[in-house]
Amino acid sequence: MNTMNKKATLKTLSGYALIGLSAFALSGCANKAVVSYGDAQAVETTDINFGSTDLQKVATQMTDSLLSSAVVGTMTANSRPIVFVERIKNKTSEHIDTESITDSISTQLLRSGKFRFVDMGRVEAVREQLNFQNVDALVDPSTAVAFGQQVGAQYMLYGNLSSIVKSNEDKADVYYKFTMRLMDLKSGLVEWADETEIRKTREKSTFGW
Amino acid sequence: MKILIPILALCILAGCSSRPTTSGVTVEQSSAQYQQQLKVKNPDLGKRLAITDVKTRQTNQLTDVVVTLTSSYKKSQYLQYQFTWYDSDGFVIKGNHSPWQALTLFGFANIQLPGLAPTTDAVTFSLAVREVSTEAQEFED
Repeated sequence: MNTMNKKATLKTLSGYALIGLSAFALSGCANKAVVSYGDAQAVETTDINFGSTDLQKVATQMTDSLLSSAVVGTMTANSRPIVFVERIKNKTSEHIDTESITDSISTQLLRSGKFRFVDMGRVEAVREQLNFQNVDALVDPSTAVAFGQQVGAQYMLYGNLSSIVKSNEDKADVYYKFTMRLMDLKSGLVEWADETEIRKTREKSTFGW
Repeated sequence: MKILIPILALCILAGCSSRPTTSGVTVEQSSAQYQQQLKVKNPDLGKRLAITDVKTRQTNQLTDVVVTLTSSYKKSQYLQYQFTWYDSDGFVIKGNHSPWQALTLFGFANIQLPGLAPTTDAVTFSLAVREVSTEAQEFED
């Protein structure tokens, strides 16, 4: 009888120990808030949606393709063509800030020293400033920047971003296609075009939490 | 009960020890005379992967490079690579944030990684290859 009681107590005790151990494990993993700086350039695989890695890949590949193309080589041999970025049409089902992609591409192209850009997103602000300089009595007229001196763009950069999404119970697959074109505004000819593709899949993990 | 405890312990280890390995394999072009230097900082990865060729040329006054990666492992490997560019004095090109790019290298396959210098000043480069930390890959010997 006594031995049985002892065995039962031991069983209860080890049960409590197990519960305690699980609680300790959970608190150890879940409740410890650690803040650290990550690498902004690292490959990010948090989920299947369009992420920073995709943006960086698209921008780098498009810039490299444009800068290494033979047509651009001829175009930029003796001058720095002036380009304006129209926009990237987002044809995917997600909300994607496509301006961020064009910003990265135009920054990289500018930095290469091969192109110059005009910013259509700031036209109103420029007009307001020139109005102030030319109309307002506060500004010395000899220092005011006159109207009608800006340079017109010779080329237009534009593109599309589309996606195909498929999923079932165990797997999700997303395919992105990014197309970009450079048009000569005088002739209307598309001088350069390229596309890049991204495929991302998510499968149920058999292990881990 | 006896079975439960080791399983629980294993789960704890799997859940908490998730800091990824960030060392990899790098190739450096130490001078404009195309002297390449290969460094394997992750021997495990070095067994599954080799840099077999480096080619350089000039395209539109920019240094253009392709590095050939060869897999010596039967399954697919999920990797990431990054080019870093330097000027003729060995200074890293300022403001150039070359990203790590994802790459799937299939079993025993070759792949060419293309890199283009961001400016005409960039003359030498280094390429680093490392694994993507993901639960989708488990390696066998």
